[in-house]
Amino acid sequence: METLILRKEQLPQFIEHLRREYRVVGPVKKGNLVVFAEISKAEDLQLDYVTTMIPPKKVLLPQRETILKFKFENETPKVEQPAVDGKIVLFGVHPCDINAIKVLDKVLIEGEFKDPYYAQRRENTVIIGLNCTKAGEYCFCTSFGTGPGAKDGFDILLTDLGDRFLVEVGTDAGKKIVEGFKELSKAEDADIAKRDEILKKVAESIKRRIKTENLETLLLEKINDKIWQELADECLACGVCTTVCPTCFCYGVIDRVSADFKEGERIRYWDSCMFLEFAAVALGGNFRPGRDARLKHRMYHKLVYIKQQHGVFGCVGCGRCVEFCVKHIDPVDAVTRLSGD
Amino acid sequence: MAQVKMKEKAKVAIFKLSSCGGCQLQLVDAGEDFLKLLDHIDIVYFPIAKSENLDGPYDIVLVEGSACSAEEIEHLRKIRASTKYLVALGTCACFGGLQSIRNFEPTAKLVDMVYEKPPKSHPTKSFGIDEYVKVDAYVVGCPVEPSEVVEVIKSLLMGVKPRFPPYSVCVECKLRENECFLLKGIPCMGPITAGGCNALCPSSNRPCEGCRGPTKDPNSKALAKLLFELGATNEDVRRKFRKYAAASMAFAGVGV
Repeated sequence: METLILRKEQLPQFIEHLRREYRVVGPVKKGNLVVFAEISKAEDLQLDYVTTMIPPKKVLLPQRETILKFKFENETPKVEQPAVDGKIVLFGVHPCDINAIKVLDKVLIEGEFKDPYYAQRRENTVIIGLNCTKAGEYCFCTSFGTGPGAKDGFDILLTDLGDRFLVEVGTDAGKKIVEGFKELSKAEDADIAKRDEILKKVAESIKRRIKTENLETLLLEKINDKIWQELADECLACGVCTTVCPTCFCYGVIDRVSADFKEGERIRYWDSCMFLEFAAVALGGNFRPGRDARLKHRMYHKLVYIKQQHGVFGCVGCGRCVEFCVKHIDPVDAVTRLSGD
Repeated sequence: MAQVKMKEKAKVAIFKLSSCGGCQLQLVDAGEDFLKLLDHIDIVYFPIAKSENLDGPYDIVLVEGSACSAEEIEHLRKIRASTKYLVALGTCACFGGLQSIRNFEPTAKLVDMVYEKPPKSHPTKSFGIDEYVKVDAYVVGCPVEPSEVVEVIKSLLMGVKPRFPPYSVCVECKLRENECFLLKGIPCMGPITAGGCNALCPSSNRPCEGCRGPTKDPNSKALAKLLFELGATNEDVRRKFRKYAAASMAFAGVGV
C-alpha cells in the first residue's frame, strides 16, 4: 500500500482538488454537535471530532428517499425512477464508521439480494477515512477490531500526525485521486512509526470492552435473564439507538399519492425494531409486543443473529447508542453483567 | 370499510366542540393541497370558514375539540349518527386536550370558581371523543399538521387506513440532528410523545411539551423517573404529563 504525506497547509488545495469531480461531505460543526454535511472549503471541516450523532450512513442510505414516482394518465400509471445522486467523497470517516459501511455492504450488496439504490450510491462514493487520535467516553471499537485504526474499507486513509497527514491509499479510486494531486510527498518510515504509536496510545485509552469470545453462546444461554426486563423498564423505546446506529439498515416503504390523486411516489425510510409497529402483522398480531423483546432483539441482532446470517458482528463499538440514549442503556454493561464479570 | 365513491364528491363537515378553533384552520393552511382536495370533496358544513352550512348526512366529519358538557355529548352523538366516517381532529378530540386538567378536581368546585352564576349547560369532565362515540381515525397535534389532515381525508377517500409516524418525537429530532435537551439536563417530553411534527419545537430550541399526546407504547414511568433525577418535583412531573393529554391512559396516572 502506497503511503504519502499531505501537509496541513495543503488541505484547502486538496479539498479543491476533490471538489472538481466530487461533492465533498465531511464532519462540520452544528451547535455543540458535529454532523456530516456537504462542505465547500477545508475550513468548514471539524476534523478533531470524536463521533457524529447521525453516522455517515445517511449519505448512502438516506433517512427518507423516493425510490420511484408514478403518474396516472388514462388509468395506466406511468412509472419513473428518480435520478441517481452524483459522485460523492465521504471525507474524514472514522474507522468504526468505515467498518459499519463494510457491514452495510455485506448485507445490502454482497448478500442474497442486492439493494440497487444503496449499491448505486455506494459505487459513486469514495471514502476518505481518518484514523482516531483520541477516543470518546463511550467508544469500545477495540472489542471488534474496528478501530482506532482502519485496516481496509477505505479508498484513502488519513492519520493526523500533528503538522501533516499520513496518506494511505487503499483502492484504485483512491490512487487516481492522489495521483491527480502532485503536491503529495513520500512518507518516511518514521511517519508510519508515529502513526502506529498514536494508534497504540488511543487503543490503550479505550477501557470499555465486550469480550467477543463465545459471545454467541453466552447470549443465547442468557436469553431469558432478568436483566432484559430490568433494561426494558428503563427503555423509552424512543428509537434513538437505532436511528444513530451506523449499521442499522432496516427500512419501511410507503406509497404517497398527491392531493389531486394524479401522481405519487414510493418512499422508503429508516424503520426501527424498537417501534411497537415493527413486528406487527395483519389481524393485529405482533411478534415483539413487549419492550423487553424489542430491546433484546436489537442487541441480539447486532451481536448474534447478523453474525449467523452474514458472518460479521453488527456492532462496531462506536458508542452512539449509549451516548445518545437518554438512559445510557449500554450493550457493554449488559454483556459484562451477563458474563458475571 | 366501504370505499367512498370517487365518482361523486364526498360531503365533508367540520364540527367544533370545546376547543380554540386552531385545528380547523390548519386545513385552510394546507394551501395548494387543500385546493386540490376540493376536486374530490364538497365542504358542506364549516361555520368557521363559510356562511352557508348544510345538515347531514355526510361522508366524512372532522370533529375538533372535546365534549365538555352533557349538551356537547348529545351534540357529538348526533354528529356521529349523521356520517359514514368520523375523524377526531387534534389533541382535544383525541385525548381531552388542555381542558382535561379539570378532570382532577370535582367539576362542581371548578364551576363555582369560574362562573358567577350557574352556567346554562351541564359541565362534565373532558375526555377524547371516543369516550362517547366510535372514531374511525385520529389526527393528533395542538394544532394538527396541515399535511396530516390532508392525509387523513385522502386515505378515507381511497378507503385505506391513514398512516402516521409510529414513533416518538425523538426520531425526527435525531434526524434533524438537534442536540438532545434531556442529555443536557432539560426536561423534554420527546421520548413519549407521538412524532409527525418533524420535531418542530426542539428544532426551534424549545423542549417538546407533549402536544401530540402519547406515542405508541410510551414508557411514561421511565421518563417520569428521569425527570425526577433531573430535579423535577412530583408537581412538575404531573403538570408536564397533564398539559395536553391528561385523559390519555398513558399520561393520566403519572406523577400522582
